[in-house]
Amino acid sequence: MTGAALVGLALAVYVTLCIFFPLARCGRCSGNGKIRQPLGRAYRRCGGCGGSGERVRLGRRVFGWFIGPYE
Amino acid sequence: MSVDMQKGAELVPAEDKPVVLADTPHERKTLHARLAGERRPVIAPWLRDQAERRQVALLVAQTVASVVGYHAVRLPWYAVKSVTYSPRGAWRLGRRGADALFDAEGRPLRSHAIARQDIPEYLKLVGERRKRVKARTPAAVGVLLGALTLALLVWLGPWYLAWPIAAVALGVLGRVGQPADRPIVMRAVVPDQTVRKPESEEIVKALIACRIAGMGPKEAAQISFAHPIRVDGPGWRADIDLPAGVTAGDVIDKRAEFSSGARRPVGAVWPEGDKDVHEARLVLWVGMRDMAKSKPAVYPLLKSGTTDFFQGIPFGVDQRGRPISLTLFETNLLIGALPGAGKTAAVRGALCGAALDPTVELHIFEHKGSGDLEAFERIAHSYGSGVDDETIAAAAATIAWLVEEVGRRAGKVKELRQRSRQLVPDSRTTRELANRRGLGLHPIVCVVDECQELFSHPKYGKQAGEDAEKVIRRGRAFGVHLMLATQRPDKDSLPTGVSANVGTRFCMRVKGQVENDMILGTSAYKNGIRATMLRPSDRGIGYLDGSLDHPVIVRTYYLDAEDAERVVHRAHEAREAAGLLTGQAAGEPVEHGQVVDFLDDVRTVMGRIERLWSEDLLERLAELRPQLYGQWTPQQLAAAFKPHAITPGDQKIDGVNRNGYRLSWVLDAMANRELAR
Repeated sequence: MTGAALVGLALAVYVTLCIFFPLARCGRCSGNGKIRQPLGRAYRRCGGCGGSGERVRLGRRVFGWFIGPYE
Repeated sequence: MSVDMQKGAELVPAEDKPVVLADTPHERKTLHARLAGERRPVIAPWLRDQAERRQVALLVAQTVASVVGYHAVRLPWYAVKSVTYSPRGAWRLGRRGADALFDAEGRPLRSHAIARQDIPEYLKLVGERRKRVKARTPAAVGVLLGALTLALLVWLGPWYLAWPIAAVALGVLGRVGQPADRPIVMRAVVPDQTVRKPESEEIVKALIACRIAGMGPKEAAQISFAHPIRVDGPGWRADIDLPAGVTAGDVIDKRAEFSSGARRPVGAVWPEGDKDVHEARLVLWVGMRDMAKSKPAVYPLLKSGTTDFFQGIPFGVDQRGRPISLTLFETNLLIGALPGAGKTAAVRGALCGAALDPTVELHIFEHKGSGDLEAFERIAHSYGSGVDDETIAAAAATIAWLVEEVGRRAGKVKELRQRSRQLVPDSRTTRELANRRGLGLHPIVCVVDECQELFSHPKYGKQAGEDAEKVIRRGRAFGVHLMLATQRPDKDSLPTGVSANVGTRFCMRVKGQVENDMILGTSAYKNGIRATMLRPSDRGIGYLDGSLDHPVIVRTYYLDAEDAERVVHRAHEAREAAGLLTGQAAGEPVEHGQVVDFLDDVRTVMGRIERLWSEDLLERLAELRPQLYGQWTPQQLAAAFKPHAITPGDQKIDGVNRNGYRLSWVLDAMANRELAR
């Protein structure tokens, strides 16, 4: 019971985050937008976020599938 | 290309271009055309005419009163509904405010930027939103503070502030919160969507739909409008010039086809000609609604008022609702129609008008025998109802008496004229002469309903027809008028001498051209005055010819028997007060329209017999005038003797005692009467 309540609370928090803060830190570059190459010292643009350092939360992306492309 | 060929090409006109001929008159440019032209009224005719102005004002006032009343009655219900809907209104208002404050209109853009994972775009949009919210916040705070102030005023303020604010706030909130399909305030007057102004295209289309030779789709361009289509009473009027060769009568004939083409009820389209302009001028009046379906106008003199027979009496209204009065004076009236077209109602209406002038002496014969006009019996000088020979004989005798009366009146007028030209300016009766009852020149109206019964009677018909013609020809100047109504206007039932000389005619629905022309006059049909176009539902509607310069369509006032009774009651009172009740209405014995001298009759039948029992006297009287005395009882006999101060007493004849009268009493009464004169 407590578990279910906790899961529900977490879900609510996540949905709220999705609504009001649809962007989150990009995991691949830790929000830097760039990644150091494994061999060498050069940086390159992070491919996960296209260099912005932020990504769209999964929940918000799911919502995006439903509303379809902007016309 | 040579020059000649070019010229030749120009000489052949293009199909759709109008040909401008050298002699095309430049109507508008010449001075004399303008000077002689028809001058349009400076002020709209309906504004100039008092009756019409009053009609419009009345309509407006009635509508306003109805709207005010409607809403006043529902005010409490509006309050209840407002309170019910106000929470939803508050919610809607708040949400609208929040949407405005938080830039709801940018929300789909932001959502889709996210959906596309276009992060820079999204960040730009968010920045835009932040700017907007910042700019709008002060206004939002102001509105909130204002709302709070109002709420505090309602809560803590004095009643004269609290109540109005609360009422207005609830009204506004309720209005915002009302469901779209159930508004708090409904319309008191639902605009009639079927009432639409006829457009010129529509009229042209309808005219072509009549399929009149010479007015096909090709000639459509030849149909022109002399004036803009304009409002005229409760409808519109269009003055149309038809193509050359087509006459207004053609369209009048095809009224049903026109109605079909115009998509309007046949009772709402009234084509008429205007002979003053030319035969192709069609005056089309399109009513807002079917004339037969609209309520008949109320008889204006139902509750009060009198008429002046010499001025005209109310008869009905035209399509436009304007009152049309009937001038009976100096004319005779012929009413004709199929059975059930409203003939009796028309006669009743005209009779009511005549009855309300107390100086008018009425003679009423109704040969349907249904008692449709029995309301008038109590004021009529003579009255008969029935198809039996006796009633018809009475009617015939009355008309014969009218011929004599006309002769007497002619002599009287001549004599008076010799004495005073001022009193008798023309050789005809006037209001002043009519008011001097002693002269006996007051108007007489003799009504014969279903006159075909009289004129086609094998014994009395021929003579009655000749007499009627004499009365119609000579009587009108001396105040003797006939009002004839018939449902079978043909040669046998309406002598041509009668139908040709009547001045005023009213024709309701008839079947064919012959009947139409019998009533409205020869070639009325040809001239486009066609009562044949009327339908069975057009009750009481017909052509009235003779009262105005041109025939008009009139819907008569509808008076049922009860209404007639009310009018007659007033007419009776007026006559009683003026001492003008005569004939059978006054209890005088009347035969053949003449007042019979009862004492004279008694004297005649008693001869030299000293005493007679009531029964024997009655028997003798019945022999003298079977129609009059035939049905009398001894009580009636006593009542007739009463004004002469004679009461029956026991008469011993051959040793038997019975109620009876003595000759000496009668002679004494006659002598007394002589002395009193």
